Amino acid sequence: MFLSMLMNKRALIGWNKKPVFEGDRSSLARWVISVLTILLLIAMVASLSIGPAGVTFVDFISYMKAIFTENEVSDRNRLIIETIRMPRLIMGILIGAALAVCGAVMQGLFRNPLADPGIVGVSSGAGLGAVSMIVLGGTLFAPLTDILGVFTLPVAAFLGALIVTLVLYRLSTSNGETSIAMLLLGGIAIAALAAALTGILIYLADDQQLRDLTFWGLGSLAGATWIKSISIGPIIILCLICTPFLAKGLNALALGEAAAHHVGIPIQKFKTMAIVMVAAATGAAVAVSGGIGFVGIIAPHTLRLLMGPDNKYLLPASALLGATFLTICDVICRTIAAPSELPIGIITALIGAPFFLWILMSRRGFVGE
Amino acid sequence: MIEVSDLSVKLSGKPIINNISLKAYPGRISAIVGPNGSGKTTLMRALTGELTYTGKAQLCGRDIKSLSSGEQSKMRGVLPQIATMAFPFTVSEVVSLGQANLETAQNAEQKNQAISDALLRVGLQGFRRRLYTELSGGEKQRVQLARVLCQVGNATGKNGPKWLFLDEPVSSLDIRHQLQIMNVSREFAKAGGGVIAVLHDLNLTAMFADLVFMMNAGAIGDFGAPGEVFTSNNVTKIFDCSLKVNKIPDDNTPFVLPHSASH
Repeated sequence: MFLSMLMNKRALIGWNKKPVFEGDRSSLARWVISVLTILLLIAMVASLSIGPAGVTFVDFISYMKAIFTENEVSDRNRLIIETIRMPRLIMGILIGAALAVCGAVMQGLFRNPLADPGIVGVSSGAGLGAVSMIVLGGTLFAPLTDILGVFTLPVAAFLGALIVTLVLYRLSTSNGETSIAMLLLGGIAIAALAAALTGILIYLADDQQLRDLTFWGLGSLAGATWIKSISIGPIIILCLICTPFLAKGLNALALGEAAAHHVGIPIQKFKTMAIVMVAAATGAAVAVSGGIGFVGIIAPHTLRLLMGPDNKYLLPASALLGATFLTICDVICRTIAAPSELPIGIITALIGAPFFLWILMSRRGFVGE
Repeated sequence: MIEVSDLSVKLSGKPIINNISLKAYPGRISAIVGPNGSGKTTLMRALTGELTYTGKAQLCGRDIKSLSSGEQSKMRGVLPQIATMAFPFTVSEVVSLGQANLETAQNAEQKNQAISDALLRVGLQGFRRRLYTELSGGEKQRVQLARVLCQVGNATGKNGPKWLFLDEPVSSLDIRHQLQIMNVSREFAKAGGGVIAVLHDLNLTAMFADLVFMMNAGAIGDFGAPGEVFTSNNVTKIFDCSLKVNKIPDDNTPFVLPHSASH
């Protein structure tokens, strides 16, 4: 019902003055993007006004008022909003957007709806990079830690993700054709290898490192701080800025690599750019959140079903939906069992999976060849 | 003009094309025929900048190797043999992918008009909203041709004639649409563009092509007008199948029937 409502809303688009051409879904896509923007704003307000600490929507409003007037806000409320909820919200937005866009880009790059950093082992590679740094950062990699500072973890995760993506691409693509069997099998093998190496590192870790690893591996936004937000912010924002330049190439790539070259896309350069972007954004997201699954699959697919696969709109819409989805899931996981917290992965799967299955059932044949 | 001399291509170290030389001219349909595995598609892929080659290959006087993807896309369009789409684009959206890198900038109205015109030329008016993934094989092939027609635009551009490279353009079409698509190619050539097509149907080739290259084992066995090269001798030798070529009394167009094969 919701889907059909959206489909019929074309007539209601007031701000969209561009003519609607037959078979062109861009006006629908613009409408979806504006709805998602509003949803994200609502989710942001919710994230700042809901939580176990008893700081409510009313408190949030008075906090906002205080920015523009001379009103006073209690230090406690200010502290909770500014140092706990805000970095958490920002990390949720950054990570949700990064995971969703990476999913969309990988699906386009591999020309397959199954591709996702979590499924094909890119997240495992990023995880191995991050774990290596947590365990060996004080000894073997100490010089690197000194140079990179707060960026150490994201950079290590980026390198891990980059190596995996490059290996996967070499493995699964020959003569411009990507073999999905090779991609999935290769991804499984790489994930297993990364898990084994991660296991060795955990075996080597001391008590303090084990604590760090456990918190990191939970897949949670609970450890959000301003430092972490700042360490991944520039990387993810840079990647998101790059995505509009990928849209045309990804659209052409849907025809196949040869045809993308025929319509004028410099395919090698384009692939390199897309792979580095996916690795950087996945790496940054995994470095601070420990790998949250499912966002990269559900967001792009839901949007393709709603508004078509045109990457010009799909990529920004995925970023918005991923950010909104993760922000809402985070609000739920910190309130549903308050004062304790559920790992966010449970909530993303619990909400995401049935919703996604329902969409697939209701629109069979829409997924692709 | 397309000018090729001493062109060789190796795939995974194995020679596929050996020292081919040929010339194809705008204003004509040049057909490449030959048995499976004779190197027809490989030759096309070399000429469209997909494969590395040794020797010389020029498109409109410029070395194909030296042209970027973007430059080539403004000089020629390529219809691939198989075209599956990874995602459910509408027919309209697939055709618009041909407009990614146009020689002359177009506004939204012009692009939309070009899509309609191209779909009309391939007989798919009214298909714009349909999902590509739900079309039949022949319809998909015609959508792809419409995309290619959108890409090249007029038969001649700022820098001379445009080229169409068609790899088995009629392979999954019924007879009416085979004739329709071949007529689209003929019109394009008449308007000053160049057409190079890999074809399997010798009768269609004889009917539409101005120049035929008969390929065998990575080399050109014979070339010339259909009336000259389609002889019983040539066809039997190239296809390793004893066939008899006959001629239509009216205009001497050669034809081959599978019935003539002797075992």
